[in-house]
Amino acid sequence: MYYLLAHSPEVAKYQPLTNPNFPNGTSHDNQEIWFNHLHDYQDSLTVSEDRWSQYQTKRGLAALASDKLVAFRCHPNTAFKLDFLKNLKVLYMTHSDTLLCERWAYEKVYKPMGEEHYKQNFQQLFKTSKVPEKISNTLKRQFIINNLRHDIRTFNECKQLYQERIFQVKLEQLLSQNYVHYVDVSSFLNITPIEQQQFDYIIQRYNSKQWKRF
Amino acid sequence: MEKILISWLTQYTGVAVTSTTRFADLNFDVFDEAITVDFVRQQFDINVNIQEHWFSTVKELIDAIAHSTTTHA
Repeated sequence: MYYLLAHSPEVAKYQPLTNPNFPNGTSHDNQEIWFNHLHDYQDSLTVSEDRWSQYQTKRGLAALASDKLVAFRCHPNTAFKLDFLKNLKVLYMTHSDTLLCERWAYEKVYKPMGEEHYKQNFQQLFKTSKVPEKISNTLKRQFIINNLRHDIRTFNECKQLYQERIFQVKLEQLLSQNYVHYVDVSSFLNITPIEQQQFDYIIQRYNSKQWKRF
Repeated sequence: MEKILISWLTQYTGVAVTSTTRFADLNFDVFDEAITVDFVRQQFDINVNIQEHWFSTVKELIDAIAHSTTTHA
């Protein structure tokens, strides 16, 4: 979704796309590190207005107050806690097969990190800098389970909170090249959609990637 | 329990699974193992994440569940 949105001129002018390999990114021209924290896949980030204020810099607050688009990716439970940002619009990503999305996250984010991913989990879980040379498969499985989307805030829960400021993106619709659905997403964000031909090309490229299990 | 597990594995893998199916033939990797552990824990409240090497066949997993007492990881 980010890759699609990043092709819209309103987004591209802040963060030109240099990586054609479907990055999961954040688009803004403020180099604001706090936004990047919101990428954390796990629901480990305790977001509150107080904590948000603590971390925010003048630059970050100015970015939020301006009419420039700031796009960032975060866990639905994190989005649920950000409702104090009154100008925030939420794209809630859904798929009828939730395990498919988990697989994508694993293939795209964790697998490329190899052993490093498990070592980071080990350090976080046991609060130690000492990491064994080899992490057991038992622990690896548990770390993967810890990253699964349990107890997730549903779209309807978020809808109650955000009302007109939330849009349900149906990934199976996008991946079956439903251009109208993509245009609806763009309209919701008030950004210019790309042409259908480009949209189709991007989706076909995405579908050709081996991020699926089989 | 056996029917539930086999039905879920069939749905998850998209392949017709039986008790004699080998996990290697399903191209199981550590992610699939974790998903299965999570399913068994949620469905039966049993922890099958108890060994370094994954089960060889579906039957082995079924036996492990059958012989387990309820545990929590």
